[in-house]
Amino acid sequence: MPVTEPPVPVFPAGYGPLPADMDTWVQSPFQFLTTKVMLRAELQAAQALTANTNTLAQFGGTAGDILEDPYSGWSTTATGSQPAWSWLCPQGCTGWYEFTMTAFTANPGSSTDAVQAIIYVDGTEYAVTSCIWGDNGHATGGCGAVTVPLIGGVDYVQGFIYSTIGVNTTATAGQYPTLEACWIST
Amino acid sequence: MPGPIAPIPSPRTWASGPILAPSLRADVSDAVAFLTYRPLGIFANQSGTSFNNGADNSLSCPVEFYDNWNGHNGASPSQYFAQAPGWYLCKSIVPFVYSGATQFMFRAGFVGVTGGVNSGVIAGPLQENASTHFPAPVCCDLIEQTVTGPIGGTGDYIQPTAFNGTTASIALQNTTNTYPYFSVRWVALNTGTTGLPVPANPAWVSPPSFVTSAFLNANIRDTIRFLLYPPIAKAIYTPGSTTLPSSVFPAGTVINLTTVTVDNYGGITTGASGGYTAPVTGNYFVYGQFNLGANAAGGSYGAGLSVAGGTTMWGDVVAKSSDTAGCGVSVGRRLRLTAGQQVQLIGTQNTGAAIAYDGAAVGQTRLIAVWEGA
Repeated sequence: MPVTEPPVPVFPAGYGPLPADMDTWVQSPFQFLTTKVMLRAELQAAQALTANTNTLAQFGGTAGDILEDPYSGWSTTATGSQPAWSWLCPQGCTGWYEFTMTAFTANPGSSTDAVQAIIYVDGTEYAVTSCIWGDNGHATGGCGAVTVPLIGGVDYVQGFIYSTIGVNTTATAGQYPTLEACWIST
Repeated sequence: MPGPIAPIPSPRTWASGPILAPSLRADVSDAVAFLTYRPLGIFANQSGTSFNNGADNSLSCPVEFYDNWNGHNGASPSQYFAQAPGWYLCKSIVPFVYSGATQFMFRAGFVGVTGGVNSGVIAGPLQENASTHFPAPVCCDLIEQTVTGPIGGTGDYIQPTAFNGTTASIALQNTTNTYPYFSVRWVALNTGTTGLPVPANPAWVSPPSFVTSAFLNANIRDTIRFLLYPPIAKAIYTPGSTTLPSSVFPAGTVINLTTVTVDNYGGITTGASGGYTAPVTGNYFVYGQFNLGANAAGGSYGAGLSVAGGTTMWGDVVAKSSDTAGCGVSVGRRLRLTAGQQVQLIGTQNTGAAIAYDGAAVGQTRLIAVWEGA
């Protein structure tokens, strides 16, 4: 069961706590620290990438794309201030999150191709997590990570792919673009 | 944010008797404080300055994004001094301004002091580039720190490096949100209790049931012990006679890991069919990389992860041309593993002939696994 980021519990002296108090002070914090906020997603359907453009990866467009999202942060449609194809940091779970991303394309057919995986926060480019020299002959990709501070219920994250060649992402298992996140610290 | 935030917890074994507020504060409160504010540092170089070629040189990262335990020495070279002992998951990326047609090698890495002893270069994969875009080599490693102390002192530290394999100094990239940075974060103590189950975190019992010492030991003591010392592992290939055969992508070969650096829950199997078998169910951060020796042929290299012998999930799959210094790739993923499932590091290269692993620095070929959550 998702729980919010815990404050450091204070155990008052001279107070006879009820079981519910102990759940608040002990069970909930350790639940949060045991389960952590997570996201694991992959882009299973081929998506066209425009040459020399950051293209928003539409994770969730295919059933099965969202492998794990216990806080239901991912949305494929615009909802309130959260745009489509984004992950909203859960309310009450402000903190530092590490995002891992893999950018993958079909054979670019070029010997000078480059592919980047890019993390956007609140609609603005935050970090390039990888930039690789793409292979000319078969599917190609690169992966990396970045640590991002997010405010729960406010900040959202998206994954973008940049390719110097206009090409599709791959629709082959094992060669999907991926986006993953894990809460790591308050 | 001042640091250290909280002492490293050492949860008591409960016995029959009253449950006192000071005991709960010392165990639960301190554990929650430590684990929510675990040491984390994120630093960057936003100068765009020139960077010398030809060696793994120190990388200055004076810009502090976060340093909750005040471990960062912002001078040059930048160093993160451990303020709490433990294993730190370290990552870096170093974009260089190079987009020439001649292929050159680039690398991110770390050096430092562990247990008072200088480490050699902890190398990331050698990234070759002749694309029209700037290269961005990355590095990830699990580094142990045992001797804590003030910044600039004699304690253990971690320091980023980078390698510019061109024939001259070139600039580090510093454009919108693309610049060198590194992060270090505490993931586990150096030692602890192993063999524990993933915490169940049950609700507290209501009368007429009552809290027993067994309940407290399982759900406070052992929970804290598990979270302080979760399953972590690292294995490397110690250079020998093993080669990576040529294959046609997406076919690959299990990377032969030979030496265990840390494996607190006994998940690693070495050898040609080795890997990491999850000791408990959960989400794991899994990272693997390999560097192969110099090779004159062109082709492609790729690194991936296979769970329970299933379809390899590829990370880097890149072009390579003739090189004289070696070349490598990495893969880093978050995977849900069921207890007993094995994840293996898979490598592929299609140059047409087997290539020996690079032996110039220790640990260039490695597999890391860190349990992150249930």
